Amino acid sequence: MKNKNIILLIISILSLIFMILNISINFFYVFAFLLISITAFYGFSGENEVWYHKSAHIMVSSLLGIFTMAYELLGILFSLISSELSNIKPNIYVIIFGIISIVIFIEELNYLKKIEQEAKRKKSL
Amino acid sequence: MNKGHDQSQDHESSNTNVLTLDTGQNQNIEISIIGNPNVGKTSLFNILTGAKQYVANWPGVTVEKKVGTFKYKDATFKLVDLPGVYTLSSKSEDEKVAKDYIINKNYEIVILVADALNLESSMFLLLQLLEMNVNIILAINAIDEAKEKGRIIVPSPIIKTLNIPVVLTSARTGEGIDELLEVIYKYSLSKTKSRVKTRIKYPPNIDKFIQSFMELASNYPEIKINYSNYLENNWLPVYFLEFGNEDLNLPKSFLKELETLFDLDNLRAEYTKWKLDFISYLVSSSIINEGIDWSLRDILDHVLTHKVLGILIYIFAMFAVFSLTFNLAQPLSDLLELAFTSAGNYLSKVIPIPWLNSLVVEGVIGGVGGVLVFIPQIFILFFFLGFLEESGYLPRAAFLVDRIARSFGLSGRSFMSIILGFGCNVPAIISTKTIANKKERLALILSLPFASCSAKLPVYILLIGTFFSSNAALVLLLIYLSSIVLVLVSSKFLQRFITQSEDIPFIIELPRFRMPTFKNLAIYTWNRGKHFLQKAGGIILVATIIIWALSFFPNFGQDINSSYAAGIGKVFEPLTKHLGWDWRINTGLVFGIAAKEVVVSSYSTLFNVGEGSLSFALQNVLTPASALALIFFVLAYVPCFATLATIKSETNSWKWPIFTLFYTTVIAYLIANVVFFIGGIFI
Amino acid sequence: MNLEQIKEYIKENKELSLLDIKEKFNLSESEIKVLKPFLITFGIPLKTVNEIHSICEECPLNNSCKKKSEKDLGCCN
Repeated sequence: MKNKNIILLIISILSLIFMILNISINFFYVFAFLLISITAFYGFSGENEVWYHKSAHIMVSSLLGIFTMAYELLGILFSLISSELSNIKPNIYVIIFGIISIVIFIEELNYLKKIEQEAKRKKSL
Repeated sequence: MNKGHDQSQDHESSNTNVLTLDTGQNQNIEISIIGNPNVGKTSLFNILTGAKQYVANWPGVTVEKKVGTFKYKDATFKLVDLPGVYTLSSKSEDEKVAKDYIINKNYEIVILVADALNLESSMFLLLQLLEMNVNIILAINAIDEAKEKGRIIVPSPIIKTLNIPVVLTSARTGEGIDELLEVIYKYSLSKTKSRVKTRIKYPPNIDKFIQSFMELASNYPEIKINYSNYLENNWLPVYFLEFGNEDLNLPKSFLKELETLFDLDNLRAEYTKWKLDFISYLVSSSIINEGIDWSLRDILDHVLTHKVLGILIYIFAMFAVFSLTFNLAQPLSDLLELAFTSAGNYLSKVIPIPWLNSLVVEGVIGGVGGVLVFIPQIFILFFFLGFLEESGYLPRAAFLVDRIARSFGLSGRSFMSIILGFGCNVPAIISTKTIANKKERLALILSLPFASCSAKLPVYILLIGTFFSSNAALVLLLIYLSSIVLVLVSSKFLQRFITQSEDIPFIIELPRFRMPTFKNLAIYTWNRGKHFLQKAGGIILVATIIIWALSFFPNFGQDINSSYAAGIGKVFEPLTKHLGWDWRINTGLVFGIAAKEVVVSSYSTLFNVGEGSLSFALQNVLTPASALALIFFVLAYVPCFATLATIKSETNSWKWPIFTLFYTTVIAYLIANVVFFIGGIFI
Repeated sequence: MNLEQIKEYIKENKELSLLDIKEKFNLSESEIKVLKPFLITFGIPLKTVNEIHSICEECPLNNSCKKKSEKDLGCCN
């Protein structure tokens, strides 16, 4: 994605909001969203001159979002297996953030591949 | 960078007759196979030799020597597999073995196997072999994988510049193997058809140095005698320039004379630069990359190995694993508990003899069953830890924590030992062999029993489930992090009394990320989990029967408070009463020295209840603060017998296992008191 | 690629990953691969951290251990 600052801002603010919403629900998710937010914020630090610095922070924070959703889905799956249907209360914030994370991850990956191809095309010209 | 070409090679004016073999005589023609580590050398060796191979050791060292034979057309070949090396020096045992073999020249040809995906790393070795004037066939392996990844290898610049045969192979698909065999056959049997050999053309300064070195060396008969193999083809001056005098030990007077003639540091830098430029030229002319130039691994590692974020992500990963362990396992654990309670109830009605009834129901079912109900937690924990390890994430965490470990006087790779210690302390202590500094190693060996091994898990799960069920994962995370801190602080503390360690710099190569397969994870989980089951049927069962007997006699179960077991526990009561631990807690801890799981089985027996009500019984005896103190005591106190035996064998002294016995107990007792005090304020 | 600078940087920092060097000196994947053997000649060993499984032969319990058959699977941890 071209505007990486906006993506990093979306991830960090959204995860902060979801962190606050989870405070009374589950401490693990509070920690997860806090970590995602910190990871995204670190992406703004300009000290690093590596070209993929911002992309790396976008991809890792979205991966953390995906893993958090996987954690939630695994819990749901096990409740289904152990027939504890009454215990199934999906955490909607985690699932929403997980889906957004998948989209961001794929988009960023495709973007990186695209700029690589463009660079090669320019080089061959 | 491409200067290499014009300063490269010219061919010796007189063609050299290298071999004097007769074709068709079925002699054993010795050839060897060399290459960097993990280039598919062994796969190629296996394809060429099939089942005709044997394994021995190289003389005087523990490095494995693989030898095989194969026939092609009318010739029989003996193939020697050399250890995987990047250079031919004496920096490691592997390199020394390979260098000594190559330098002795008891072979006809060396096949240098290079990985097409990492061809660059093999160029150094290739050039070194050429400098030694060895007959080389370059086999560039995994050519199919390279193609898949958009990497095209063009061998012609290497063939033309270095004048060596190059074969593109794939051990996986068999591509190029026939061609390789044909080249080996033709190349090794070229008796009179002379092979054109390559002579490296160095920059003038280096050439001048080589010439002067050889002239000077001719005045020293000891050099002629001791380094005759090195002197052939002028390799001694080149080796000296590259690796210094460390493993050569040339005469001091000779070195002094050399130093008066040349600025060796500058010359060394010039030689290294020439080599780098030459290799870079070869690489740029023979490798075409059409695939992507960045790797996802680098992008992820940029954040995952960040010194702050990386540690936070590691804590998150462990937190997730522990949460899953408790959340997913609980329903399964409840089912097992129900099964054991039902079995106990049934057997108590069926067995008429009172002592046998007590032994089976309270001793075996209560005790061993009390441990077995934690099977789901243990298997699920190993499954997810396996995921972290198999995916390649755990080595990254180890690398990060190792950096922290440096400030505790440990010079690298110590966290790998701690990770091993989370499984079992025995391999963790053995793994410290990689630490060169003996005194630093001793400090780590004596501190590793603080690494929380998996045998302690049932104790944690029982006490955490009973007293801290709402924050179970967080408490377990706290225990594991405390365990790491304890090992590091203890090492720092012990090194004060032993010595300061040397700080040798090194580079870490992180493995690739990979998606673990379910089959691999299942094998990983089963291999670790099944030992827990074996222990339950072995040492835990025996210990449980002994504890039952001690609690049943001498008054035949009438009054457990005056039993032998009570006698053992009461000896320690003056020391533990203020922590809220009565004689039953103490007796369990004493028997836990045999194996930590026994702590749980002995509580089941001593509290005279099945696991179902053990939690209630414990809640009546312990406060949350005293339970937390007990958890931390179990974390740190006396390691099991196997660990003590390992410490003895690794240190070659009884002094250190005896020291460990007292040291860990004193530290555990101090920690339990501190935790009880702090816990009393907050809990 | 300035080998002297890289050597000094590693000696100052003691423990680095190949990625650290790659990012610090802006090296390509190909250059890092070329660099590896040079580092060894400088006396800077290259260590991998995927050897979590320990070696059974060196274990003091080797003679009495029943887990040896699973050697390749990292038997004792």
